Amino acid sequence: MVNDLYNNFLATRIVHGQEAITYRLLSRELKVHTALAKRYLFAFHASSLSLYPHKVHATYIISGQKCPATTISGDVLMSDISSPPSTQLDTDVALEDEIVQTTFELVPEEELEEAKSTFRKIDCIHVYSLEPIRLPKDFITLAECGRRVRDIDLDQDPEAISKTYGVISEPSAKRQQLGQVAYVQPKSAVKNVQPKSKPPHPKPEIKQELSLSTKRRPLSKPSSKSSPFPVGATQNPDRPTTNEDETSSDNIKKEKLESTPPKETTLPVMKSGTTQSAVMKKSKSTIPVSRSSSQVSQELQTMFSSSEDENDGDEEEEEEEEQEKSVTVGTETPKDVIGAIHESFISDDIDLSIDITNVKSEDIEMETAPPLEEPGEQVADISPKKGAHRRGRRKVTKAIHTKDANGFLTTKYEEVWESYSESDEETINLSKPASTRSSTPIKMSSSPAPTKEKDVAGKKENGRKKKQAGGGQSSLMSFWNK
Amino acid sequence: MNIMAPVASTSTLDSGYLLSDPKEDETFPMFERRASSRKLISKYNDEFVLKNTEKTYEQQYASLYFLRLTVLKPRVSKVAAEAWNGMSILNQEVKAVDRVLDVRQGEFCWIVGTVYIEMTLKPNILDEITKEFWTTAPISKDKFADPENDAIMLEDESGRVNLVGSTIKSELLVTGCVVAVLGSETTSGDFDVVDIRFPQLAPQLPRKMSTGHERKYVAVVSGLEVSGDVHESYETSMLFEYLMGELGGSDDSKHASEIIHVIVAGNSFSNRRSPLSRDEESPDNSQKRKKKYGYDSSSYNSKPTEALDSLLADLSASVSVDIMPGDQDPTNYSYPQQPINAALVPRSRRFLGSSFRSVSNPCWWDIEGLRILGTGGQPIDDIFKYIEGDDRLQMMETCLRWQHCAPTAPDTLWSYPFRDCDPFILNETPHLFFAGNQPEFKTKIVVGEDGQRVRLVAVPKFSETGKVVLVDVDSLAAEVVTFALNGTGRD
Repeated sequence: MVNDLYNNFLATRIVHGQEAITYRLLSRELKVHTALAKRYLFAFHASSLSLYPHKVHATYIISGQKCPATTISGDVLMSDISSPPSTQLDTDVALEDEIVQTTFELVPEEELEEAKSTFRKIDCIHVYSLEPIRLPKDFITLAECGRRVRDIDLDQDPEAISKTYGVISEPSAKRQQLGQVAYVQPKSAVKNVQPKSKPPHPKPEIKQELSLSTKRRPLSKPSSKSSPFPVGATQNPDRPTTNEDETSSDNIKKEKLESTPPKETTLPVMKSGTTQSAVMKKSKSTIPVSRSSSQVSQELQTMFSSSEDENDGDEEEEEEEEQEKSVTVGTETPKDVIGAIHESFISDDIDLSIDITNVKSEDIEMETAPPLEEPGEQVADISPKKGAHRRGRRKVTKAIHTKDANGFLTTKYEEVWESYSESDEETINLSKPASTRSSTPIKMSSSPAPTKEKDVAGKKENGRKKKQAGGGQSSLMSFWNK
Repeated sequence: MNIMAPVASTSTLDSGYLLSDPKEDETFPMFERRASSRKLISKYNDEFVLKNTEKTYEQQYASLYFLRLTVLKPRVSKVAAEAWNGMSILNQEVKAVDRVLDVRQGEFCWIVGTVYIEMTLKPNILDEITKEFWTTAPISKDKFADPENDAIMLEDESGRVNLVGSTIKSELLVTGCVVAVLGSETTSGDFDVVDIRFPQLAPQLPRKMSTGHERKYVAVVSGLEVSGDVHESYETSMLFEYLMGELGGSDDSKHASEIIHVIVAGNSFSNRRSPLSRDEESPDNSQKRKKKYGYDSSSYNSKPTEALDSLLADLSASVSVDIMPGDQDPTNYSYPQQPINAALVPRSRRFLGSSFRSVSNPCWWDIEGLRILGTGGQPIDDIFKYIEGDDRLQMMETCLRWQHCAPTAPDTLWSYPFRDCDPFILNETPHLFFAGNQPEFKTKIVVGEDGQRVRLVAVPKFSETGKVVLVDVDSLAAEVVTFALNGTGRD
């Protein structure tokens, strides 16, 4: 019986285990609504008077409005109201400016009656916690219960927490997987969504990528096919998503999920680890992909989505319809990507009710390649994680020499994506200081003043020289040891 | 005002309804927050958030003052012209004088410029250096105002003029505000002030009042000062439980569910050092401790960050939260403070983009049509140091009337040397203006000449008072919820 369950639990923990139990901890442990947990505490306390006399102590919470005389001394407004309006309050304004003051007071059972008398109006009293002996004055023992509650809540879905425990739910709250935090885009990057072609990438760890994506998203439309990946898998927070850290130059934002149907709650939010991705764009024409890859693309497409401000709701439905058929492309300019790297973790100009996603485009020609391979290739990241170094793709300006119709050799500067990693960069810097010198002015074109370019370029070279002098040592420690 | 009248209970449940035995199959009400728009006003906030690639400190601060004067001069001239045009004193018609130095003796005229107050007690870096050679310890003061000896001047692009007169002494002025003064030049070359005008409240956007009966609140709390210590004040936990709707009865939960947004306004991280690190600081140990990357990492106390992070992550699952830095928080010290890097709060960071956001200090919001300007309290604290008087609300109101939220920047409030614009100028009056980390809770409504209505709130430090302020988005009514532990001696 349920009664026995909580009775046993409380008896074990409080009487035998000599621990304090708050209503929150009880609700998490027994997976019940907090109000029910409050009742359980009360009932156990009542029964403990006979069963375990003097072994269970209760702490109560009183919520209500306190009498003015006993208001906390720092409350200036109350004293102003009780006295004639002072100069600081306009008389007219003061009359209409009633400040409702509610107090929540935590009292041990011994002080309960006395505390009740200090309240002018009591909204609610309930048992906050039960413990073997009276708690110390600052109630610090309860902090441990709070920590345990938070640890339990950490891995749970916000919606599940609301439903089970009665926590107020916030429709827009979405907890992302570890290592897949949405990369919040500066607004400049948002505006640029033009198709951009990209060269094909070397084969990544496709399987890992795909399995990750499937695990993150329970398929809304369970495929009739047998799938190598678990359908409707729940989130796996401890999954090592090391290669999906935000080291690559990627900007992907969370899709707007406020208006989406509840099943979308476990929809994975954008992670920034991937460099290329299939993107859903409602206005773009979709390229038919063979059915065999549709499942894969489903996973991938659900990971990413782009949205316009108002039509997100429609878009979600559209997306679902299109999922089985198509892969679409979305874009952003590379410059914004670099800007986004610099602006990591800072969210600005974000309307919480609006999502803006930003994804890389993929080469349309690649659609014709073997379906299963292709989306994975584009999506997954290139190199395995090399320690804590940044790696991934970076935009490099390359000079491409071509012969045009008249036989003239022309040089075009094109920005292409290249994979790199920090450690590689250091070695490159060490080995070819001269050759990269020419490319730095172009790279630094985003800096404000021309003089700055030279300064930065100069500093870069100094750094390189230092490194060279240090015998090619690429550790940061050498800097401080000097 | 009849607060002693018995308040009608709106609760349908008895206050002790939770003090009863659990019933089988009882369902409890589930509350959900309304989906609402909680935006940042990017046209103002973008100027506060400085891009690392574009920040440069090579310029002087003079450009900031010049920009301020350029923008505010026409505004205050307009107010002054409306007030003084056509007026005549001693049969002389007053006229506007463009440049401060063009004032002629005996002529009644009005001039516009930036106030500069020469303060004898103002901390001066040169004095501090000379004091280092003497053994007397500097006396720390709360206030640096010295009304008898301070000289008030008006300055514009051309020059400065000393302002004298009883009118000027009684007015609340700080260095950096732009005003218009009416008067005439005395024989000694000072400007005797007869009247003074501010730009007054900037235009306010009309509010679209929602027609629904549901109430919506914005909760503002500041000075949490989470330390993660064993002796952490328990009120913080109670606050978060309340915001999540777990504390109290169903009426309390219902009220908490009407909170659509929570703003944590500054000083969320505690500055106190843990006792552990103090033990380790014996002189023998300090030399042996290895210094890597130029500092000793073992002296870093990660407890405040971890504790705050776990609280915020819990809260973000239930309500949308914005965290704004204060003067003690781990971000830059100068104003405007950049948003706290979300990497410091990894668990809450998982809600980034949905219900968690890190914003700058100061910051502008637009929450369901309510325009909010919030600061961590530094401008007000700085103004407090340089004037007489304690009325924080009056300082806040005067900031609105000066159309500038941080007039003492960059003089005494450290600031970034802006080149293109002065982002602290108020181009519009917000509906709610709050300053965090104030010593006590105070609030009032200010009414402007054109019908603007602003709710001013001085949000007290939670670590000292246990108060969180709720403001009704539609009616601008303010409420305070206090969390107390019985027997802590705070009463």
